[in-house]
Amino acid sequence: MHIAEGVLAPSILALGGMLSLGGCALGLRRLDESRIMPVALLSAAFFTGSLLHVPIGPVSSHLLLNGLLGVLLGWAAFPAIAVALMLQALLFQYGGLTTLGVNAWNMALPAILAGYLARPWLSTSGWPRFLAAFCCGALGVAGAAILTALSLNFSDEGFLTAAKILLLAHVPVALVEGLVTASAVSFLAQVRPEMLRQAFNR
Amino acid sequence: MARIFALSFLVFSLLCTSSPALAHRVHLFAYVQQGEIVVDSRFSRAKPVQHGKIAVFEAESGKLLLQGISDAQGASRFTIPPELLKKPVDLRLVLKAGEGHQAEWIVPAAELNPQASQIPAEKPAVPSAAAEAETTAPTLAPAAASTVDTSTPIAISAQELEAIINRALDARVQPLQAMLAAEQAKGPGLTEIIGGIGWIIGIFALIFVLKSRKKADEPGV
Repeated sequence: MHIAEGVLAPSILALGGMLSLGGCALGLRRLDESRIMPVALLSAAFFTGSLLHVPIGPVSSHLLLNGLLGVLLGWAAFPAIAVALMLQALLFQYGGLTTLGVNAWNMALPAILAGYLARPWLSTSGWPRFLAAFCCGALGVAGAAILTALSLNFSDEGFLTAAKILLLAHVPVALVEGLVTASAVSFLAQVRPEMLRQAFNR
Repeated sequence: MARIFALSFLVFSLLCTSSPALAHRVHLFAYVQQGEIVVDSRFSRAKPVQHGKIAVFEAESGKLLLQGISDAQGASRFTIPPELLKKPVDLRLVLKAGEGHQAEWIVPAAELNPQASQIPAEKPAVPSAAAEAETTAPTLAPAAASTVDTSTPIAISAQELEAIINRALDARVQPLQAMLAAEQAKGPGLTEIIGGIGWIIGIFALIFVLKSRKKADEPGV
């Protein structure tokens, strides 16, 4: 899901960079100081999440955890994801610094949208909340796959082939992430319910 | 907060038990062996890239020279065209593994044709060998004349010897090259992971400081 250096045209890279800068600025402005520590910890979880592999079926890929960040952090997921991606690019050479903007946008936007969509059901309890969180985690991954395929549409790989491969490869990841997100949300609803409410409050 | 720590600890312990599988970085490694460019392509954690597209460009002009697809072992071989052997240039190899994965490797001109770089060294070497034979001939004349026939077989055997040495060296070096390729494609180590987490905490601490300073300034204005 990390697009490497030299794949995309400069105009796409610039567009992605500007969009992501805007997203980060918005996320940071809405971020309350009291919530910085959870944001940092979830950013660290996203950073290490890409090293967790889901070996189900013929294809295997790594976790993204963007849906989890989206539902727990709201717009603050943007800077959290961007910082984690930057360090993945610098330390692991996943993706690249020039593609950072595009990659951050591809992963953060679907996460935040999924978080918004799941929000009404988060204050409920039991199965509705579990299912909403599950969908949020799964949609975050699926959305990221579609956006990555869209970006690749502007390279020499066609949109449909890239989308098909990416979506297929990420079906198991989406399921696992749905479960991870749902269990995390259920857990937090019991021990720190205010954390779920804070995400989109400001 | 302790629960969040517990959660992140859970994630981290999961990480330590993760199994090797496809990761999201590709590696390209290439070397020259007996007139062929041998290409090794892997995802991180040393899983081979199957059916990856490999293109060979002239590094300077960017002209496409050769194209190929990697096999099940992630390997690919290109026969070096004769015109390249005659006039070696730096080559840029680009691997496209799909889904936005791409890697590059440069094969320098000197590596491309060691014979080409050896020819100037060999030319003086042959006359000097002959000259040496001539100069040593008077002193060792009886022994040399009886044991070694003439200087012409030496010239031929020098080339043969070189070929033999090259072959033997290739056989010896090949596992090392494969090891290097595998080493290069290893995943990130614990140092990078822990360091990265430290950076993240540091960056957000900085954001915290900047935000709280701004807030402290605001009421005063």
